[in-house]
Amino acid sequence: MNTLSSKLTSSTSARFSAFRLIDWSMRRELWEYRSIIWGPVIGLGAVLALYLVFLVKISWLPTHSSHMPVIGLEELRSWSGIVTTFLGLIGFVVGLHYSAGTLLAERRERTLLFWKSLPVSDAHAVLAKIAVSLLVLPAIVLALAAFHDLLVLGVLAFLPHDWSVSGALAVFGVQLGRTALFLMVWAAPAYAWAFLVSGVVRRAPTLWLLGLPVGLLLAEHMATPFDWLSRVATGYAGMGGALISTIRTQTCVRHAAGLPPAPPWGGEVHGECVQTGLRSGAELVTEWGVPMTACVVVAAVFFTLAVLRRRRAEAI
Amino acid sequence: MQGEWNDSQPIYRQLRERVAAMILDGTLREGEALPSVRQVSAECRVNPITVLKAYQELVDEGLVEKRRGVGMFVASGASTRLLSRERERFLKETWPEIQDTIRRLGLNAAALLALETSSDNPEDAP
Amino acid sequence: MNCIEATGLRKQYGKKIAVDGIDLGIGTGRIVGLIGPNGAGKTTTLDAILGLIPFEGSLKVMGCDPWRERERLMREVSFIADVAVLPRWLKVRNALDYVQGVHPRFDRSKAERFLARTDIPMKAKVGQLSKGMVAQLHLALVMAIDARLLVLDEPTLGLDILYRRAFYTSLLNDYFDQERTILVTTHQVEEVQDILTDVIFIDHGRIILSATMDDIEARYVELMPRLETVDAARKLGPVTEYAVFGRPVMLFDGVARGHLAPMGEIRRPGIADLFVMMMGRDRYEAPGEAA
Repeated sequence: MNTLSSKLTSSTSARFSAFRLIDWSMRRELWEYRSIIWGPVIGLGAVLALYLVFLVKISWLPTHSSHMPVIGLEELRSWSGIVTTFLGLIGFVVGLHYSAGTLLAERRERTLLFWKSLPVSDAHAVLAKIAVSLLVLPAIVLALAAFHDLLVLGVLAFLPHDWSVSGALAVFGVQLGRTALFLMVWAAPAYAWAFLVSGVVRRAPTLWLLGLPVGLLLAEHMATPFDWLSRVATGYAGMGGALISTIRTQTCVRHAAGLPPAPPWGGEVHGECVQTGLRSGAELVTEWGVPMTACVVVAAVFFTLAVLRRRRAEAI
Repeated sequence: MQGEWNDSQPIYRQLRERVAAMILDGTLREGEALPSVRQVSAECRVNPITVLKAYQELVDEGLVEKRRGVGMFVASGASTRLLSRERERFLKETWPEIQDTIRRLGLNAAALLALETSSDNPEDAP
Repeated sequence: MNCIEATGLRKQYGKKIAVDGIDLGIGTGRIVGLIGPNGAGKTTTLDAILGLIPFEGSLKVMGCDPWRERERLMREVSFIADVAVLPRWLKVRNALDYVQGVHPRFDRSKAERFLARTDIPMKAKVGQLSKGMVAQLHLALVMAIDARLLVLDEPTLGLDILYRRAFYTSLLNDYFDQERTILVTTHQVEEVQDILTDVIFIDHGRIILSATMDDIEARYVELMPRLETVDAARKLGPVTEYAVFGRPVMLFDGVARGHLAPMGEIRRPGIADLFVMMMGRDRYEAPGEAA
């Protein structure tokens, strides 16, 4: 009796930190969902393959370096911006796909019963999944985008150009910062909604994921005089588009012309001219504080519901 | 010690019989250790409590002795004691039943003895 | 201290009562079989014990409330729900890595020693292993966890006989001791009945019988009386009677073996037989379904 109770107390005290439990749970997510890593890598691979094709093509032409156009900062910005946008969108699609699948897959494959047989609480398990979609995936996308930017910078430095390295780095910084906000804050409510759907439905998560919001919008449009939902939806979509899009030349012009700024999600107001781009990144946070906070709050609510749901989840 | 059990007796009795048989036929010699409870339990897929119960019975009969912390050993003189006990039991319990059967089947001692001698010779065996 | 203690455990799904107020007291060092037909409430009871579902009534497992303290409970309790729950994409090596990563009481070298005795390659993915190997892998993981209570829900379902035997042999040889408790449900009752120290019969969410195997062995005897002793045997009040090849077979509860032995052949009833008889034969052996 004595030995038993002493063993019980000793075993109760032997526990791993939440950090360790989440860390290992994240690793096993990455073992299962290779697309988190390979999706963005393949995306960048496709870009680099295109470059290769392009290089092979121009190598056939006679080289007249004197005829090469001088590459300005704006060209550099839009070039790297297009690739960053591309990678960011891939990241979002991969993340949404992961979020809509993970809680459903473990129920459908009955592996839930194995995960639940280990001392990892549902909160830790779901937190690990959230960390994969909101930390690991953005980190991979941003690292690849940064790698691409530096590669381009390195190559173009040998060609005629009229930008300074520090200016170029500042431009890249802004773009990466916006992509980070896009993948970590703007995407959060979408992922959280996908988690919840994934934890509740028995099949066709994508249908529910998109169908329910679209259905609600339609219902509001047809059956009520209100347009609250559609305004939120437009705002949300606009905000995402603004964060990830690279077309900012127009707004630079608009800004220079002294026109009043459009609403944050209505276009590229704070893109400004590239030299001051870094500052505009910080402004994004200050001026978009309210919608971003809303994103975080909505995400937190859905994620919490997903945890509660997983506590009661049964294999299907 | 693997094998199936019959349905007529509790398993611990059958286990006891098996160990007794092993002592009788010399598979387990006097002073030799019995296989551990865990080993028998795993090999026969029988819960350890049943094995312990069988062993305890052998201890109570004085055929096996417990040495603390070491295990169970065949007691000295176990074989002889077992033999005389088994003889006694055969004569007391089994033999009357066989006699009954012989009577019921209308056989007699002479016919049976004749069978006994003929089956000693393998060529004549049916 | 009992490692499972339940009073008035109850679980209702909508209008269906899955577990209808059961009391349990399972002591340490026992191997308990939870026996019942499909839908009797076995899995619901296990789910409640494992903290997978909320429930009514009081339930303490290893001193924890399973629903509120599942994480703590899972440091003391291991379970194998059935053979198919290990993820197919998981590599054997990574399975060990993960359990080592999250379970403070996992002894990796023990699991590796056990696996070395099997044909399971460390590099293989679970999906490449045979069903029997997956079960061995799961057992290797569970046995290397120094847990006090092991819950097995149909652990050998779909395995061939050799793996089923090996499973229980390993369990008794490498895992079980007086400080551990095993709770098992299975349809292959014949295979586990000799391993069990206790049985619990459950039907319609209620416990029909809860007894030690010793009790059962002492209490229940099956008698196939000779023709001339049938009436005398009937007078002793069999619990139930049925016919095999036209000869009556009677089950007695609490009648001494010595009393019955002279009347004919006596037999210790198997757990499955006993269960069927207690539940009423007509219910479980519909025409054409009888084995």
